[in-house]
Amino acid sequence: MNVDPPEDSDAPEPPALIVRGFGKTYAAHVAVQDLSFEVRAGEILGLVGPNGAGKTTTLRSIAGILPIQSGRILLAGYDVATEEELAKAELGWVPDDPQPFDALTVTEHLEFTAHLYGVTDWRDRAGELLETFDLSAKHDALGGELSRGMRQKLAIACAWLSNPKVVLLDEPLAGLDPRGIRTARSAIRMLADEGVAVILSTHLLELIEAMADRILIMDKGRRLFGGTLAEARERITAAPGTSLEELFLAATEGTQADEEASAEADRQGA
Amino acid sequence: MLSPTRPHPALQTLARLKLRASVRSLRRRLSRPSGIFFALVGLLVFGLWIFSMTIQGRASAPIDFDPELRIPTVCGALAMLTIMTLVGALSYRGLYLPRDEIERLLSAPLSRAQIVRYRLSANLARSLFFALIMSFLAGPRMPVFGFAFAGTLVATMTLPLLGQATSLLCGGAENWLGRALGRVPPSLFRIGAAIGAGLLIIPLFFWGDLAGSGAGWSLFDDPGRVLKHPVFSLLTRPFLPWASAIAAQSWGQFLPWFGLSLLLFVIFFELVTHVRVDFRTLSLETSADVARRIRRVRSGGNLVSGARASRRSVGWRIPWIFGRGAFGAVAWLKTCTILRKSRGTVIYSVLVIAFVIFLTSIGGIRELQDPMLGAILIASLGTVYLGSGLRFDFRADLDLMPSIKAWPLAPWRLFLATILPEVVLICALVIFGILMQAAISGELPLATWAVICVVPVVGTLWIAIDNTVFLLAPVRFVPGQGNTMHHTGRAMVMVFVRIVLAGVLATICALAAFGVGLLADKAGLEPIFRSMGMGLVVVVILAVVGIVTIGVGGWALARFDVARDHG
Repeated sequence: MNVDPPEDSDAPEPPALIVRGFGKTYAAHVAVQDLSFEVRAGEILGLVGPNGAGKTTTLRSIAGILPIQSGRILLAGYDVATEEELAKAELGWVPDDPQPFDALTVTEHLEFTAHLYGVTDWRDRAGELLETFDLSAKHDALGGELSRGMRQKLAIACAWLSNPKVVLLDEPLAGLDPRGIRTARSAIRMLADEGVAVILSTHLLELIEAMADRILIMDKGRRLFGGTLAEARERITAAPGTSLEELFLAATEGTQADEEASAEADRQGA
Repeated sequence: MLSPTRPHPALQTLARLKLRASVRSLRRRLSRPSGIFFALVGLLVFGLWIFSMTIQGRASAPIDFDPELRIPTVCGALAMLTIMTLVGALSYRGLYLPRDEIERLLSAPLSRAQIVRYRLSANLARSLFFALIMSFLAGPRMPVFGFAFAGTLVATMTLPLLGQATSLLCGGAENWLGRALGRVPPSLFRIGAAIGAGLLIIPLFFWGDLAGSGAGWSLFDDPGRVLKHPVFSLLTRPFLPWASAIAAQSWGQFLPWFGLSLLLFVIFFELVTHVRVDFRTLSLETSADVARRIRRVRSGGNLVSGARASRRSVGWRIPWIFGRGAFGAVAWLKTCTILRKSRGTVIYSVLVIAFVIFLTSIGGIRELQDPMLGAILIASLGTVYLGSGLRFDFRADLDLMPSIKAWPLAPWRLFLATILPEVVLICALVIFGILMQAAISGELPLATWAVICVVPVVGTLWIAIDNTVFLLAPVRFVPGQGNTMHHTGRAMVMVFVRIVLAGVLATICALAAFGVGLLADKAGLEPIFRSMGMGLVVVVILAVVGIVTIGVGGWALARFDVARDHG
């Protein structure tokens, strides 16, 4: 199923992130093929798809971690393939399993990030971020001493610190406690409000439903749908009020799931 | 009454599936041309080693052995192996179960005896390789190859049983002491075992002094006297069945002792499976500990760089000695890592430097005590050993590569910033070593200063090559985790390539220096200017190669694929 809506072309500002015809292959396995989408400043794009859909490969390629085999990626106007450093300087990247440096303290991680991205007067901002993410009490803990949730919070704080134009979040809420989840959610919203383009990749569909301005559904390396949730409801199930979970299942599981989702939506409507 | 435990069918299935998985992994590796090549090279190296040991054994023995000393010698060798096994066994408190098995097996409806039997069988299967090597080594050195081979095989296969029994019994003792005293340091038994082993081994070296004879004779001065000593005979008597089978000269001598050895193997096996110790807590701790060690090795770190960072220097301000920008930040990160893991660094460095200084001064070869030769030896050996031990570079950061590759820095600058603090550390240590040697010899000629000037260039080049090779062919090899032949082959090829490259580079430098020397002679320059010119051209060539290598390293970093499995 490929139900792409037409791209919105009358926006005043160019999108912060443009992906055109992107493809990636590992040996004989096609991880991503002919993927195109864009994210505007202040917009949150929810990236969803089953395991092995190519989400992490896509995010890693945007971050310049994986080489781009085909297509073009423009980040804040810079070509990721040819202007790698300039593009990376505008990016905040939170991997799915952040690995802090075991010999640096929490504050030193922020100090390192500030110098890496050329952030001056970072101390006040670092203090705010430590407060925001409940890391103040752990400011002198070494990276190797942090729990999974703490590592996640630290990675998000480091990504925030450099004032990026685009932020990529791969499963950002994994390992966070309820308080951490609430903090991260409000921080993501705050980022978007400040004009940052955010890509949020997660299996927590209710999070996407609550936060994303648009969604991109991928499966087997291909784009199945890109647009708003309302458009997805209209195009995939033609049933208003369908949850993203049902839309996702319908889009990725074929006709049978589609019918089940429609029936469920009808029943709810009735 | 001791009754044999029946192996659980599920555990038999698990063992079979694991064996199938390792065969599958091997087949997958051998499906690629590079896999076949590296495996063949590894097999060749290993085969040649075994072949040479066998030939050497045939050439030297059994003539060298006094028939009277044969059995005591084998008893002594078995005693040494047993001590090593027992000390090693204390690294695994309780019963070691791999991370993928422990939660499942401990929560499954299995008796502890069944779990112990399963792990014991797995350990024995793993030990078979070592046992075969030992048997191949022992065979040619004894009167009858076949008897020695079979006897050694049974003896070395019995060692894991002793090791496991020790782990379990010490685990039980630790549990009991824990209940009695509240808390027992996990290293208590290891320290105790090390002291015990020392007390057993040291008398062999100072036997005469300890016996009060004052003659100072030891195992190496007069092995026969030690081996025939009644105390030695008494201590090694438990090994008599295996030693007698190994050293047997006829079927009549061999069969009874071999039969007894086999019977003891079976009895020990059953005894170990019936040791009544609740090993669950200890096994969970051991499993987590081993998993941490494996993870450290898999991420590329070694004992020094993979060590836990110390909190002691957290309050200190680590200086930004390489600047403040992105380049400086990466170099600062590495500086922090070096300083916070300094304990291992200091111990390792002191050992290496002391060794090379010893070689070139106090206890070394007379020719190497020449200041120039000594300085060259310290520079080369120091760089090689320190470079392989102090890995604060990409080799220790395999798990961090996804983050590192997202940093906004040109690959060659990132490469240089990563290796620079390590290069500075190694060069400082090597120069310190050269100056120490000069202080001991009381000479510091111009030639030594020339070597000191070349050290930073060679150090940068060496570490850059190491990292470039690693980025081009990254390997996560954990000893004992399979694919040994493949990795041995790869390591041998890498050593060979490096030797060839070093040879080519040395030839180019020598030819260039020779050319400059000829030109200087023609121009009628003073010898001092001639030497300076020759030295300068070598430094320039090495510096150019170093710069090129950093560029190649940057390219290797850019093409490094984080999505590839580097197993």
